[in-house]
Amino acid sequence: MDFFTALNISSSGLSAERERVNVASSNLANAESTRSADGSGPYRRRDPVLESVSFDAALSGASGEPGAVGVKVAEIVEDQRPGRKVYSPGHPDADEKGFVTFPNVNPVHEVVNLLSASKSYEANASAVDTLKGMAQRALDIAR
Amino acid sequence: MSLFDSTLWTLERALDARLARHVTLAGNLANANTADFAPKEASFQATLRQAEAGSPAPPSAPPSPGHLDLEGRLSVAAPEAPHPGAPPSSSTQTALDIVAGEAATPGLDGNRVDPDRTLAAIAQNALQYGAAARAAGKKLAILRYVASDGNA
Repeated sequence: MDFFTALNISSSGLSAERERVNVASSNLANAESTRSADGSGPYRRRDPVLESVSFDAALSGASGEPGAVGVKVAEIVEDQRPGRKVYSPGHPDADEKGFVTFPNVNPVHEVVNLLSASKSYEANASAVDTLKGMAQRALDIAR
Repeated sequence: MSLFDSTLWTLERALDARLARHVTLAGNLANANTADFAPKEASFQATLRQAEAGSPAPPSAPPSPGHLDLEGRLSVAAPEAPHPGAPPSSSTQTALDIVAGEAATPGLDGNRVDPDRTLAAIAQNALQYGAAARAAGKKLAILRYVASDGNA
C-alpha cells in the first residue's frame, strides 16, 4: 500500500467514467442510425457495466475483505428494448408496411448519464489532486 | 529518553494510517457508479501485539462510526521508546480492519456511496495527514536545532 495504489485506484475511476462518457456519446451520436455496423437492423443503445476490483491484497481487513478497491468496465451490454417505429414509407429502411425502426435511444437519458459521468470524473480528479498534496507534504517533512 | 523517541514512529504510523484511509475513500469514490457497491472504511484497532505472544491486547474503546481513532490509541500502544535509530519491532503493529463505511440511502442501482460525503472525508483526511507530516517535520527541526548547537 503506497501512494501509487491510491493513484491507480483513482485513475481506474477516471478511466471508467471516461468510458461512460464515450458510451453515452456513442448513443447520442447514433440516436437516428437506422443501420448498425454489422447490418443487423437499427443501432441499439449500449450500457457500460461497472465492476469493483480488488487492487492491493496487502490492504485488506481481518476478515479478508479488500480495502483497496478500484473499478473497471466489466462489459458493455446492448439494450434489448424495442426501438421506436416511425411511419416513413419513402425511407430505404422502411418495412413492407412503411414503418422505420429507429434506435431505442432516449437523448434525455443519455445527457443525464453524461452529466453524472462528468461529475464523477471531476470527483476522482479531485481525489488525485488531494493525493498529490499529501505526497508533497510527506516530501516536505525533511526540508 | 532517547534522541528518536516514540513520537516520530507514532507519527510515521499515523501517516501510514491516513494514507490507507485515503486509499479506501478513493476506492469508494471510484465505485460511485458501480451497482450494489457498499462503501468501505479503514478502521485501525491498534492492538499491541507482543511478538512473544500471550499477553492480551489492551482493552479498546468502542470506535465511533466513521472515525479513525488512531492518535489516542497509538499513544497507549507505544509506551516504551523503541531502540534509538531503529524502527519499532513487530510488537507494535496497527492491525487494519476494513469495516462497512457510512452508507447513504441506496440509489436505484443499489449503490450506497455518497460522493459529497466521501469527498469531504478525503479533504479532512488530507488535512490530518498534513498535520501529522508537519508535526514530524517540527520534531526533526528540533533535533536539527540541537544537533547544530542551537545555531540553526
